[in-house]
Amino acid sequence: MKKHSIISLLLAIFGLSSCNFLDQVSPNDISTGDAIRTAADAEAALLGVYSTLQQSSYYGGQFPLMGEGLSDNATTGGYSYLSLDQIGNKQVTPANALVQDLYISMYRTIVNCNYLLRALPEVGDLDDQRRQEIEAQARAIRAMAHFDVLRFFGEHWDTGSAYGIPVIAEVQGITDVPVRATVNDTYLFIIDELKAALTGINPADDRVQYVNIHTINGLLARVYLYKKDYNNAAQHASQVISDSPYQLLDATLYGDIFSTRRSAESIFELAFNKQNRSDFNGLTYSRDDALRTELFYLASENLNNFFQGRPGDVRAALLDYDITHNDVTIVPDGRTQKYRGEDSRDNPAYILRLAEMYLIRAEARGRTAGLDDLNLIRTQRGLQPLSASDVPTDASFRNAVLDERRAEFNFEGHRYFDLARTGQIGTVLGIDDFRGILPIPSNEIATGQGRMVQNPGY
Amino acid sequence: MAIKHYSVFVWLLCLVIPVGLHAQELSISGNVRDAASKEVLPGVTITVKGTTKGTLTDGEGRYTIKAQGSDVLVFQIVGLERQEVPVDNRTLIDVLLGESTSLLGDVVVVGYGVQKKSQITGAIASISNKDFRDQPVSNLAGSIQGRVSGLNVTTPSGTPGAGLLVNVRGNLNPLYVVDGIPMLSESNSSLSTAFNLQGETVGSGQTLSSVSDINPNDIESIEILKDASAAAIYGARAANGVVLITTRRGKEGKTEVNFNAYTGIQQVARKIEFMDAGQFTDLIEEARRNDLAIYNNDNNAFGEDFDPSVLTEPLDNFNLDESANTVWLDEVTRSAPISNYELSMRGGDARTRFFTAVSYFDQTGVVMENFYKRLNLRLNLDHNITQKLTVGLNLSNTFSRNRRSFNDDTYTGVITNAIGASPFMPVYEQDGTYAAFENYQSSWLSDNPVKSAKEIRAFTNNYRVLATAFGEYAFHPNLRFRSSFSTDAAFLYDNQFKSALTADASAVGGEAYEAGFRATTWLNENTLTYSRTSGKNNLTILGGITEQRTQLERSSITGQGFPPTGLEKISSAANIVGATASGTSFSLLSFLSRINYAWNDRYLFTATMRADGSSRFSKDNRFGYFPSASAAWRISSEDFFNRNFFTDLKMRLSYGITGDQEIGDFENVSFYSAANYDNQAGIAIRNIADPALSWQSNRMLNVGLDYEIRGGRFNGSLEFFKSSKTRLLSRDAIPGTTGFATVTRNSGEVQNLGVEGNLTAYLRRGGDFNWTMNINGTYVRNEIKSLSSDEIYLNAFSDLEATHILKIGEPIGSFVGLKFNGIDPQTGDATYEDTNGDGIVDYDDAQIIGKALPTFFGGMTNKFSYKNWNLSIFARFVGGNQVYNLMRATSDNLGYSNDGGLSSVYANNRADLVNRWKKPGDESAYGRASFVNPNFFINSSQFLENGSFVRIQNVNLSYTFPKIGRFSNMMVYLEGQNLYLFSQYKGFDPEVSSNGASTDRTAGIDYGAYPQARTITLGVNLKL
Repeated sequence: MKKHSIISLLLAIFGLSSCNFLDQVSPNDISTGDAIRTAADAEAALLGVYSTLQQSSYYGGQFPLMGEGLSDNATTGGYSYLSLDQIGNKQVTPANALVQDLYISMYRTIVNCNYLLRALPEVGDLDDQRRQEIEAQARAIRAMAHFDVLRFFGEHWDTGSAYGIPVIAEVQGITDVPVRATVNDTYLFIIDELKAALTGINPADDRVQYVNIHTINGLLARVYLYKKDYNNAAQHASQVISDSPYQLLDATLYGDIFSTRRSAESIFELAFNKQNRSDFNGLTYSRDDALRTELFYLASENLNNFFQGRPGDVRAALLDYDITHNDVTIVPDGRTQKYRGEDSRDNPAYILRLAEMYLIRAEARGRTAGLDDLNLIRTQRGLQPLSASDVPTDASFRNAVLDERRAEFNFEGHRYFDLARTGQIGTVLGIDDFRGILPIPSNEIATGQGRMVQNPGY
Repeated sequence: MAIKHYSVFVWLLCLVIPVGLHAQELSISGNVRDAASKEVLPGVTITVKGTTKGTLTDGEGRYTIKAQGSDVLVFQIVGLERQEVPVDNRTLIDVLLGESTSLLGDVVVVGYGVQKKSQITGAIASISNKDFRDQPVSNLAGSIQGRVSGLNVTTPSGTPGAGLLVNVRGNLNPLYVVDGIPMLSESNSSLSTAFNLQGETVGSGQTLSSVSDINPNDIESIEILKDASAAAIYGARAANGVVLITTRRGKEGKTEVNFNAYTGIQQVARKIEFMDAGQFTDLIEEARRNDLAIYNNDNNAFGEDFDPSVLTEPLDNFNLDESANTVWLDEVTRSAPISNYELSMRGGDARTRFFTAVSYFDQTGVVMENFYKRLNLRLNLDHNITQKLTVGLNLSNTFSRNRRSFNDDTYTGVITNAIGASPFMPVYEQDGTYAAFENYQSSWLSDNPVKSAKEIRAFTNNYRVLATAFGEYAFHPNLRFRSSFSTDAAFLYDNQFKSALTADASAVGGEAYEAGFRATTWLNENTLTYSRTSGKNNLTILGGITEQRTQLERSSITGQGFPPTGLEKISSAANIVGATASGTSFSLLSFLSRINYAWNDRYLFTATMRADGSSRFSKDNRFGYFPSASAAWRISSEDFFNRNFFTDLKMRLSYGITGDQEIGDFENVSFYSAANYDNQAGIAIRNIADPALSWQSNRMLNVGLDYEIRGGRFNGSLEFFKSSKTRLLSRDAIPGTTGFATVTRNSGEVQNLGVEGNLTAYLRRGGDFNWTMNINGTYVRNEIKSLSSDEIYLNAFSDLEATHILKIGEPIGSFVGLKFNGIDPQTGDATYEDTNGDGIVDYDDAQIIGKALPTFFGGMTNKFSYKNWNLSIFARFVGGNQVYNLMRATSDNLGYSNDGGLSSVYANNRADLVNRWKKPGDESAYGRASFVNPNFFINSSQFLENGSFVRIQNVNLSYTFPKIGRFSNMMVYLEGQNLYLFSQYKGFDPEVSSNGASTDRTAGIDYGAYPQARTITLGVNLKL
């Protein structure tokens, strides 16, 4: 009898522990398999893709600014640690932690696009037009992220090079080991994706905080320029210039691009807000009486000298470079003022601006046909136009365009790539040419099972 | 007592023979005391040898018994040496009972039961209250530091209430089980203390320990289950060993009231000496002169554009008044009081027994403003409803409040700022405001350290309840059923206010952070035990089912912009800039069983099996099975064994598998979580997961030997172990093309191989003077046997280059960096090995330069007693490890400016650097002073130091007054904790890990950790 009662007691206890006891559900998350089922889910996942562009290692700050630190526009601040110092010294090693974070953050965006694109055809209550629009935005962002990886880690200036980047167009497993595509194949993928996006995008939508038709044309113009396919570069730049509602601001209003949000010059501008801040201000300005040691990226003396040689250029006003500060230990001598707004710190990332389209077209059309575009930007920024005799050779014209780009886009992340794609890393920066791109992070080599190859020179 | 001391026996025989002629009954009375503590002993059994006559001592140790003048009285009580005393016609016989040297009769707590020490087949270390009580430490692991072989407890920081690195045979973070409840033991505070200037977390920083919620003085005994045989009954959570904590319970007899109090003072045990204003000026000017000489020799030495005037012009803000001459470490540290008060009562009758205690622990930190206070309440109750049915309750309540030290362990903290601060800088200006470091030349600083300490007010408040209600029913004398319901509830509130005066919050007008944490665990355990002895066979069978469910919730809110009027709560904030709330949970369902069989106390066998199902793994991988088997042979019980020397000898062999599920919840699923863009809610991928994730398992072989020599006069054990942790649950590096740096998965294998031993020797006993010595030591070799990808670099701080590496063939926690080749006597340059031979010394030349895990460790206790005096001296040693003293890149910067404008200096230097290289031919450990370029490399063996030490951990001198007034016993003691450290280490203390207590992979970094204290206390124990 007693034995019976024990057994029934045990059974009763065991009964409590039904199988459900071990099924716990996270209240904060939703598994990737279940996340994208409805139209609303797909919209949410698309917003999520944009939020990944805002990662601090990507367009939240480090991507554009690291490029500046690697170029002659910036030095790294008194805030000193090895990874950052390597960038300031233009002597990056594969173990660099900032470079690893940069690499991963761009692929994070790509992976988010891939999950959305995989789920999209199965989403039931989505009308086909919106489905196409979401797909177009995701594919364009995926292409842009690949291009950004290529610009930092692949030999983007040489379509004959084997040193492209891993093209990740599908959802991958954790054990899948990537291989590097050739540079040409990387370009082909990026261009195909952008072209596909162009067909799906809603031509009537011109909101600049989202990928729109002008963003895609602008990206195509930029990609073709890097690929040295000048006809296509000029053609897509022209489409943005002629079809879009965006306008260049008057010389006196140049600062508004940075002090206001979504100015008339912006084509693609990431929207941050007080609760979702970017790092631009903290990395470059921080506060009026900030110390050198608080900042990551300081404007270089070289950039100041550059502006000294351009009297009248309104863009010089955004460079705060004053070695007459009473106490140079306190206030850094060189800071950009593009990212002010210490209270809100919601500085946008300026991914595409209209001025770039003119300068792409100028460079693509060359010395004769391109001079007007160059001069348009010059006059719009308070400078005198150049005459044909000022730029007697193709090389001098190209350098004039590059100088213009430097004046226009310093601290927006173009300079390092411009030097690399025009083969001037050695001559301008005085470092080995192979340093025109970064090393593949050492953990990629370690996890790559011998199939992931390092860039030459590193 | 199974083993008789033959010499005592002979001696007794001699005494017994001549008596017996007289036959007169006497009434004998007297008093029985503990020989060591001189405390009176209630409950001692006194019998007249050879008869059934007997009695017990009363609450004050007194007894009366009738016996013949020729009889022999036998005095015995558990835990002390049995004593036989011939009456010899006396009527007053006072007896001192000494500590029992033989441990074989002792009872040891094992998982879900108790066992006699003599029948143990696994590797279990047991340590009782008297060996660790009254120490001025808040954490029970701290109180047994160095006292148990195989257990290495490291104090990563001197901060009150800090977490400890507890390592059992090379495995970090054991499971803590308090009176049967597997308790939450991690740090629950979300106040990270390692920020960079952007406010981002860069390291795990200072952690707290929720094990500190248990008051060490409430503990009766601590058992450490070291091998698989002992630990496997805890299955899935036992891979890193198990620490069983048994609290004190009531006992039958007169109510015993104890009052214990101590109070004392703590001081920084070892300070670092820094240069004074004059030495600092000399250093900077010498650095500039040295650089100028280099420039004059080669105008391009510092680049083409270098302007040498920066080496000759006076530095801004450097021709300063030397009168301040501030010694910054003295400004931020202090002599800090520590005290503890405890009142406990235990007693009961045949049916109800209770133990209750209330205690208050109050420790101020040696760094200003910092403190830890704790209030504990405990009630343990047992009641027999009938002969067969017993019920009981254990209730423990803790409230603690901790004022945290800001950024302990990283470069924006109070200590780190004090290390770099300039001696020219006063704490306050003439007008009473905080001096601004910007005006005094030390760009390393992030703020005035005194300002940081005072104007950043961070508190962690913790409430903890551990409660168990249980019932035990004996169906039959051989069959018992026990069921218990337990809860472990932890509530923790963090709040931090950074005033607008601080550099950290001046831009935003002050910042407040509040966070809440709630954890609730429900546990139901049911066991059935059958035990039977028939003839020489002794069998015990245990079976059980347990269920546990734990839910955790966290929330936080951050506000900025506060009025300058002392309003510091979030409701006064102008802006709410962040808010979070999240929850997580896990559940565990387990089946357990154990069989013990002994034949004639000679051949002993144990087998255990546990099956654990965990919600942390997918359905298919959910259950793990953890078996173990062990056997022991008491050779000394064999007829052929000559017991002249070894009076007891037991060989043990065990093998088994234990598991580990200690990863976060829901790590087996890839998730989307909330993200937002353009003021709209979205979702983004949070993690990438391996759905095949499952248990980590630890296979361990243990060969042990327990010995007693001459009846236990010398006793101890020797163990050899080999454990293989396979399918490690680790954050494993994966290709970045997945969008993530790591995934949690099972991969890799780590082996721990070791030998440990201990010896207790009663070197002198039986007279007025007694001397007992205990020594223990452990050697462990840790080696990574496999990894999913080799050579993974790890950063202790995310803004440093990799400091550690995981590499096959090397131990976990190996340091990586450049190899320092010394100072070139000709140039004064620091030189490094150019491993890749490219002519450039940079981080690419990094190699393995050391390891954080010690190779050997142990401790030695000597206890002396003379009449009523007792003295114990406990020393602890650790060796074979290194410490990466990264602070020296600041404190040994040799005058480097670290400033592109070359207009400021970086930080003050240690006073020892006056012995730097000064001219060609100087042989020095420190290089040439240099202003423009650093003459050091932070990630190099230059700053790697020997971590070995010997520490005089604890010295206690006590005097016991036999009887004072109403008190049956009073003991007064003087105690010193951390009295002296033998070490060459240049920082505060080699026992340090700035990355907190959570990881062994990035251990052994000193990045300005909180210094450890030396504590002197005076205490009293009163017994009523």
